[in-house]
Amino acid sequence: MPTPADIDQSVATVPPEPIWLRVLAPALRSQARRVWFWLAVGLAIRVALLPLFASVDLLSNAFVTTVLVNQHQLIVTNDPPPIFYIEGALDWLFRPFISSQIGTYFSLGPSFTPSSAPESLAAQTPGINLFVSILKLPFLAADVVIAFVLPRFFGNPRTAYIALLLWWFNPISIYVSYMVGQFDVVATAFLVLAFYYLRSNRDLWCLAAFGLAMFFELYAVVLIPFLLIYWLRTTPFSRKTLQRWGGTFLTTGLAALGLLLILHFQALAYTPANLALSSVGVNGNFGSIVYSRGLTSQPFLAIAFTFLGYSAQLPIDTGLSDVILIVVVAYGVLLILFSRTPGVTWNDMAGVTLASFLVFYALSGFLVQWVLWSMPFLVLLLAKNLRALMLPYVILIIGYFMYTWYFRTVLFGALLQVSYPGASGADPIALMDSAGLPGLMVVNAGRSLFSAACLWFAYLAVRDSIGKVHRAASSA
Amino acid sequence: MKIEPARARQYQFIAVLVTALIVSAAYVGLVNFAVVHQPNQLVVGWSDSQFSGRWSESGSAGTPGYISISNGTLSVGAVGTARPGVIITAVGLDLPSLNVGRYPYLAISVKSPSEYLAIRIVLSYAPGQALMVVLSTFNDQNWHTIYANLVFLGFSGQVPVNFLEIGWMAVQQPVGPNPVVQFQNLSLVAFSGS
Repeated sequence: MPTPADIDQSVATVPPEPIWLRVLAPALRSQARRVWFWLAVGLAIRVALLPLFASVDLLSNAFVTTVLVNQHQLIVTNDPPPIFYIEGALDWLFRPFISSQIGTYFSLGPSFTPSSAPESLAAQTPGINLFVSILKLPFLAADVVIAFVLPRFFGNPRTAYIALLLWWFNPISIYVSYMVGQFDVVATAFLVLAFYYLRSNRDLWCLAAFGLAMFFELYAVVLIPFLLIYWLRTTPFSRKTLQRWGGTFLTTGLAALGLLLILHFQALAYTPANLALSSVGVNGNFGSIVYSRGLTSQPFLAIAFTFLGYSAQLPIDTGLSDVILIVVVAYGVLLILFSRTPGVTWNDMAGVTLASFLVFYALSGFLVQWVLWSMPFLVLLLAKNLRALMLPYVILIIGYFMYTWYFRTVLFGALLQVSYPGASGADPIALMDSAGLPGLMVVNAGRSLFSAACLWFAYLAVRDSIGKVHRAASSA
Repeated sequence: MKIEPARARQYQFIAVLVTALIVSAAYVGLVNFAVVHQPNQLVVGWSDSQFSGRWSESGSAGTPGYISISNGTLSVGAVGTARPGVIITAVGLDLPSLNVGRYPYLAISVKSPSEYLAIRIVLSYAPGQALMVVLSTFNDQNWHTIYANLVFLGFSGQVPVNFLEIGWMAVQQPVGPNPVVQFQNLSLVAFSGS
């Protein structure tokens, strides 16, 4: 029988795990060699894309970033400003390597019609490839965080490995972050962390991560009601429940306060809006009014209204200008389902989160980068039963990329404009039309399949919750 | 000096990471230098820095306006307060046709005293045919150069100029007293490489 001293001795002689194992999820450590191999392959793909692609949106954000660094003024856009401070820090750090010619177009001195003209001109300026690569570095960091956290949701080595591969080679997340150059992955990384801490009951870390997700993008706010219900239903009502609720409200308030403080104390810059343009081309300020895509807007509310405005609608024949927003209906149904689910678990919470995102994509117009929000949660669902779910997953991916064709050259040929200006004219629908195919109808069909796949996965995500409600109702 | 195996593997791991970082940076740098971009240069196709055509004032009834040209600056002003909707403009005649096909941007520098005075430029390309090509406010009182892409606005090839209006319109709030907007360097330009 060993004495305590012997045990201490034996513990002391066990060598600590090397760092390349410690950073991996426990379930992956037994297969570290192949995990690191695929991580290296995925990283190589990402690095290869860094300098080659950029959308007008990334270049617009480059404009905002450059003005922030050069003039210490923030151009108010529909994007919450925190990301521009990170991009600005990188711009400042790498400034000695960045071509000064690019800044010629990204300054408030000249005013261009259309307002996207400086981005187009900057896209054809020497040095732009390095600049867009630098701007994508935060996306890479967030992407890596998700890759290392997602497998930690699984104890089974095979499932954890599949989860890693599904995220690390997810075509949608790679396309959004490295080809379009949208920063949605940053907030999504914080959301994944929030769920990781939620699962392990580390409330403070969970709320901090949730708050940061909301700070970087407002979409995480739609999950707050689910979180409140989760706190309420997972433990008997007690002081701890109140603390969790208070913490949730406090975190949400702090995220909002942080954004308001930035807008209050940060010197703002104004871009002139040219009202001589067609409606969607009007961006910037006209007098004291802010225009966004032709509409007067409050910068942050504009996001919410865009979110709802894209929703499919049912007109109500009452003589009132009344409609039912399908997305709001779907969200309400999920909220009721979650609040009525007996024995709520973390799985139910992840499921209802995924379903909320998917029904929105299925029943609304959406910006292509928004689909990235759901991808980590879809991976959690897929990894457990990939073989059975592979076909709808492939349909979802194909349908998604067909949906991007609605945005024509903007998200097709123009993504290559920093590498090959001649490619910017390619329009997939026009190409199909010229080949004798009904281009728009083909895209509509693909989009419909995408919606079908989204609704199918949404059902699977909440199937367990529905089953619990059904059983509870049957036994009552 | 002998390094213990565990530590050696740790060094190897760090070395691989550093190598990956260097290779990645080298690749981005290589692409940055290898991709051929034409440096954008401003090329002036036509300019009228002295506003040498025939220019006359035109404006909204009830608000006296005036124009003056001095040292290459066209000043367009109103006497008294300009209420929202008031337009004061300089109308230029005898201007040459614009080779928009080759030089797509109509450029002009402006300095406005108020964010409530919208710079307004109208191009008439045939009798009874005109298009407003700029209606834009500025939120500071510095000089700005406006580049209006006439191709984007639907023009092409050689565009005859019936007349050109350069002026402003008061928007949202009354501006006064005696607001004056200054214009300089009217030109038609291209960005080589674009």
